[in-house]
Amino acid sequence: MGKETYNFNKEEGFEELRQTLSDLPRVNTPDDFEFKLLTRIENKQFNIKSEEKTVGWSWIYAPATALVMSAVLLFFVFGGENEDIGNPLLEDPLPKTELVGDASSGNVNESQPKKLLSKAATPTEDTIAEENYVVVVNPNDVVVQERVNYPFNENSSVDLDNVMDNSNPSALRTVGTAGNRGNEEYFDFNGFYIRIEINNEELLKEKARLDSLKNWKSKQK
Amino acid sequence: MIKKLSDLTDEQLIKEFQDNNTLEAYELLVKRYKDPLTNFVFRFVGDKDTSIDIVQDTMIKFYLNKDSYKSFAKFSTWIYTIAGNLAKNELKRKRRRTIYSINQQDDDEKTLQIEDKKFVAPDRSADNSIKNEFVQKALLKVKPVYREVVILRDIEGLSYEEISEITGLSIGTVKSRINRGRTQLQKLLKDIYN
Repeated sequence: MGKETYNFNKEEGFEELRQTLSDLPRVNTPDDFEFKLLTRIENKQFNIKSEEKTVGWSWIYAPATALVMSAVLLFFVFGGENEDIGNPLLEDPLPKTELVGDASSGNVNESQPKKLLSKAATPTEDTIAEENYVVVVNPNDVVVQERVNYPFNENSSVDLDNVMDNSNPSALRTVGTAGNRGNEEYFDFNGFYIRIEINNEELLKEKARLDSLKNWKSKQK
Repeated sequence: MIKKLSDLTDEQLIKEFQDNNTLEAYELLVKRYKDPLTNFVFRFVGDKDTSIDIVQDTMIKFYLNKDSYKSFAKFSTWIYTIAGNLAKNELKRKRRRTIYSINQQDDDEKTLQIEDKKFVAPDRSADNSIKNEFVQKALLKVKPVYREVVILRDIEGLSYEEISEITGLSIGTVKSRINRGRTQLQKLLKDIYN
């Protein structure tokens, strides 16, 4: 039995088909083809339509997108609930005594943060910001504010100026952190610090003095 | 004696355009190739307006990239390659639009287009007109890789070597694809032969 081979050179068997194809009417360009082409070239309209990238929202119709969207939707509908964590909006709030303990008897609820007790006495963000910056006159006469890192924890220290001015007498009593550690009482206190008041008049005087010194030095030379 | 531009071969014309930027040489080449390219692209994509746009883009690419043509190649194969690549890009775009289109139309409706009004007989029942439409529809159902080579061979009448240069395939592959394309087409057209 002979081996069957394909002879691609042979055109037999397709004569009729080839004749049909070659008899198809020719499609020609319209009469204004060259005019349009040369106008495009003259106006430098060189954008090639078939090479323009389509900005796609078409991906939104893709089956994969639909699948992902469905999964996300199902997760939010059914997967978001956790029975261990109750909905805080549906539960009654805890009584205040449970949160901060009985302040009159000195028993502090250890499980609650102690900051609740000293919150009123702790300095606000504004006062901290004011106290932690000092004004410095640089040699080039530029006046800047520089941050000063005090070696104390601000929550357990006392501003002496503030106390001596008696503007906030309760600060000395309330500042610091008090609590019970088993049977022992403790009180964390780091120390005192003195705030440097910014006096604009003195600052200007100092600047004038430095200027006059500079002038005198330059005249000496 | 100086030859007239119209007497020059394609390769001489593009050399003239490359060397001296002679727009008349470019225009002559456009005149020579606009119709064969339009016919080739129309048979490939099946839409006359699209095919005219593609041929316009082909000529623009030719204008912009004239220096990428190297003289060892035939100009005809170079310009057919550009047109073929643009036509394939268009087919890909069309396919993407079809896949993601919400309102999908019947495939037959989309591909059926009358090629040129002057070739359509007033009487729609005329045999030739119906046959031509049928052949065009069948051609568009053949796989693009086979369709391209069948059109180049049997409609445009190019040689195997030229088709090989245009498509970048070996002559053996070209012949095999032509054969497969013809076989597919013949199956689709068997009704009109019976």
